[in-house]
Amino acid sequence: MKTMESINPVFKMGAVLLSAVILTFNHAVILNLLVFAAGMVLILFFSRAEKRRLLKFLLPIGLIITALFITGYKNAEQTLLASFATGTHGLGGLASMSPVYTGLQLSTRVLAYVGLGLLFSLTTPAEDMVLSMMHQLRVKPKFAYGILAAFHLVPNIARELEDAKFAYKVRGISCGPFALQPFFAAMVNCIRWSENLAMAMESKGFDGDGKRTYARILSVRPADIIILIAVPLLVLLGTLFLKY
Amino acid sequence: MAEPALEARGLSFRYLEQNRKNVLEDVCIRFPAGKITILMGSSGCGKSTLAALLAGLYPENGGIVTGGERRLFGRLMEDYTIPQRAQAVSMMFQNADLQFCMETLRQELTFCLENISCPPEEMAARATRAAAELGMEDLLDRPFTTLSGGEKQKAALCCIFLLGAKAILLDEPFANIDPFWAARIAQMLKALNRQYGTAIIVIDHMLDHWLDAFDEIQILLGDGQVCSGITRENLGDYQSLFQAEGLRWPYGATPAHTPGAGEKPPAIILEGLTLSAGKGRHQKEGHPLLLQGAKALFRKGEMTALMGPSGCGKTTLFRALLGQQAYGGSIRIGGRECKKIPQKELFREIGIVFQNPSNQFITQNVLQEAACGLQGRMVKKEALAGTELEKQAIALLEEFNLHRFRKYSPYMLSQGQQRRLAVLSILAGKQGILLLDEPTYGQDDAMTREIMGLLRRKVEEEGLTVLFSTHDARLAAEWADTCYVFSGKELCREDHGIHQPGV
Amino acid sequence: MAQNENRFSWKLKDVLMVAILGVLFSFLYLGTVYLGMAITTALTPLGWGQAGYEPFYGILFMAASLTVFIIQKPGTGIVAEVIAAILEVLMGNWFGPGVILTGLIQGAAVELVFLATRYRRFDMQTMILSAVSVGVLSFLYHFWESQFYLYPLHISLVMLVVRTISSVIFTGVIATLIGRGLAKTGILKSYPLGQQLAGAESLEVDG
Ligand SMILES: Nc1ncnc2c1ncn2[C@@H]1O[C@H](COP(=O)(O)OP(=O)(O)OP(=O)(O)O)[C@@H](O)[C@H]1O
Ligand SMILES: Nc1ncnc2c1ncn2[C@@H]1O[C@H](COP(=O)(O)OP(=O)(O)OP(=O)(O)O)[C@@H](O)[C@H]1O
Ligand SMILES: [Mg+2]
Ligand SMILES: [Mg+2]
Repeated sequence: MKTMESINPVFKMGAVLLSAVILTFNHAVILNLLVFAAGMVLILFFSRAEKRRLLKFLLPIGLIITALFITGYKNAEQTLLASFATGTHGLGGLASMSPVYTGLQLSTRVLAYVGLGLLFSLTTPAEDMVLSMMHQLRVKPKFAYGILAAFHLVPNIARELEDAKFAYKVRGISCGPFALQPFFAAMVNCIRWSENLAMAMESKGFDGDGKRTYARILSVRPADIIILIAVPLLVLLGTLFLKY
Repeated sequence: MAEPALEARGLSFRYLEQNRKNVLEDVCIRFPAGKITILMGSSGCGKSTLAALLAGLYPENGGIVTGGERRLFGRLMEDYTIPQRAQAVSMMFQNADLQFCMETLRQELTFCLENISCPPEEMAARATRAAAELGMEDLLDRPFTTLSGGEKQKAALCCIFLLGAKAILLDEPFANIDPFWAARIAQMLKALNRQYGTAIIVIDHMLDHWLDAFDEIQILLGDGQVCSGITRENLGDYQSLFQAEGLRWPYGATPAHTPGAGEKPPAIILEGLTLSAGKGRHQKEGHPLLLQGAKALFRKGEMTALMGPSGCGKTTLFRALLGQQAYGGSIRIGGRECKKIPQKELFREIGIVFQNPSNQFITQNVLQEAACGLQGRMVKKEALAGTELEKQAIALLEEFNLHRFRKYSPYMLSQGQQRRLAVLSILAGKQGILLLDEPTYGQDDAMTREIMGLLRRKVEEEGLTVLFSTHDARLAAEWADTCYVFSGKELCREDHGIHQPGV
Repeated sequence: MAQNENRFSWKLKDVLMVAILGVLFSFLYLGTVYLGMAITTALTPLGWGQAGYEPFYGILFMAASLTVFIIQKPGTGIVAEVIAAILEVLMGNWFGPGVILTGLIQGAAVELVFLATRYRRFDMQTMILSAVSVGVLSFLYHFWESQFYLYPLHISLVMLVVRTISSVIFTGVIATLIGRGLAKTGILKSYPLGQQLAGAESLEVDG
């Protein structure tokens, strides 16, 4: 394995999702931290991900986990909130723990999810994901390319909104920062694009079910299978054997 | 003669069940195989709709066929599967913003090649070659959102050339492309037609680039009638029909506009202006310079045309004038530095029509859009009924032939109609300086005159400053007092920009 | 034509609409979760912290109801909701992958009502009914999943009522209004909702 990008996306996603599911049963702060740290190390040293983007994601998350920590700390006796916020069962014993520990449990779990999520999303180009969905999961091109096209909309959503707000401003029509009209206008433009897109794709010969060739075919290597099995297994072991 | 490439027999179509009239009523039209046919018609007569029907995209993706049939190389449209159909016909849409599903041109071209089952090992080379033919090789890996209007159209044409269908439908392919490339692409299409017998059907309001390439002209008249059989030999007989339909006659010099006597006071002064590419209020490193040390002077009470090849920076300059773009040097508007004028004040002073009109609409109703323009603030649709404002708005819509559509949403209008609505709602405003980014593309001759005439009137009566960009040298010569051309990162004043420089 | 289109086969345009609504709403969802978080923190000292999300819960079902309202085909709402949930998880929803399962359940709960009408009736009434359905069913799921039963019953009851009201407002009424607004702009002309509504009154004006 050279970089994270070279892992087959479907297998990578499988490993990440399985690990995340296992983590929902985990109470150990250490494991959460380990998962997060492993994610960061892999992103920083074993991937081509832009470090600036990583920072952009981590900053707001830093705020959130601080807030979560405080919530957990203040409400250690309120298990309801704790279990609600972590979305799991079996944390009934939490109340007996120290407040600091409860706070840590809440916040580090988020860190672990974030580490896994970022590990996947920062090192997997949308194109690769879609190719892998077609080649490994036998998803029909219609669905794969439909989702890909929607992904391509993401960077444009903010721009559409900006354009829509600008259209109001330039006409001298003031609308506050929370006015809904520009949001609606931006939504109209996004949906209009999607409606025309189907026509554009069809007139370029795109057939959702049929034959096509591929510029690249993503293959599965033994390493991918090992990763899919080994990573969740490690997390499972951590869950079983790490106590704190 | 052999089967026509595309044919409609008694075709009737409407967009919505409850429309009172069909958009196309009993249309019979045939586009011969192996020929270059130009389809003309006044704005809003249904050309784009017909094209989408003949490309097999409607009614699958909208609207209802209420009668008639369509044939593609003799076979019924319904008998084709999508890939078969795409091999027979491909279409370039009128709105270049709405036709890419990938992020960059390289991805889009690869997508096209995969669709036609091109062997993988040939893909990279074919994609690069297709881009190089249209001078787009440097833009292969840039996101589409950063391309200029003309560059997007060229990108769409790259895809069309690459797909190599037996019939090609182009809906105003050159609306945003400069004359140099337009002529060149027309030549390429002609070569394609001569070499492979590709049927080429072009919707265009301007014949200029096609005069030595076309085989036949067909005119779609308002009521579903089609006037066909116009060839190069008998074109002369049809001058009166062109006039009656408001289409632009390609021959004869247009009367050049003679600027009024006397120096007018300056409204905008550019000095040592440096602009770099890329949207944004902050200067970005590494982006190419579009203007360097440019000088220009736009006068109050005059119309100034801005010309230059696609991607030279016209839209970017407009953005700078609106305070939306970082710049070096100075832009003085009414004696004040543009950067220092607060946004609100600036927008009270300057109005703009964007290159893509659908970014401009702020309401979901044509009448309301016009009324908002007149009033300079949001007006509720319900509050309009029976007011003086409503009357004014309707009168204004009437001038631009849009009053029939006043209950429509702007997105239901044809591209040309959308453009007119955008121009109209800005014209109705009270700003003293108007920037218009290609105000007349997609317009027939009659509507072009209507728009420019109204502008001229406002300029003369109210002393407006009008700055418009265009690729149409004849338009500039006929209407502008002054003309500036982008050349070599500077703005050159040309008194009458009949000669548009090449690239 | 629109009427005799096969309701079980998805066209490319349907896939695109589902995916794009999923993407659009994933942003809104994430924003909602942040907002709920803030309110939870504020309410916690009063002992009502867990109710912080409830007033906005209806927003989290909107992708499902709006999508099925527009496309009117089985499964579209579920898929849109799940796509929104997956993206949300990848963008950093701190509830983790459990959200994806929640999305599935919410989508199904929304579609239940339309299933009962065999996907024939799409109006304000069925939209509101489906909002009630998703409000109640998603609460039952959380009641079990997050062990609300360990806490005073009255808190749960208030939460249920608030969530259902929120659902009726956002998932029922507001989603219907957005759908109709979109249809009126004419951009939905290739979807059943666009055909059903945009031409409700004759658009042409003579003269
Ligand atoms: N992020 C970017 N990086 C590099 N170049 C960019 C970027 N964004 C825009 N450009 C380039 O800036 C140039 C100016 O674009 P602009 O839209 O101003 O052109 P234009 O004169 O309006 O052209 P057209 O007549 O085709 O509309 C284009 O060549 C465009 O490709
Ligand atoms: N989505 C829609 N819903 C309802 N009516 C529409 C829609 N799109 C277009 N129309 C109407 O259909 C008519 C024909 O439109 P079309 O786009 O085919 O015109 P066109 O000849 O291409 O015009 P232009 O030269 O301005 O592009 C117009 O009057 C327009 O108002
Ligand atoms: Mg058109
Ligand atoms: Mg431009």
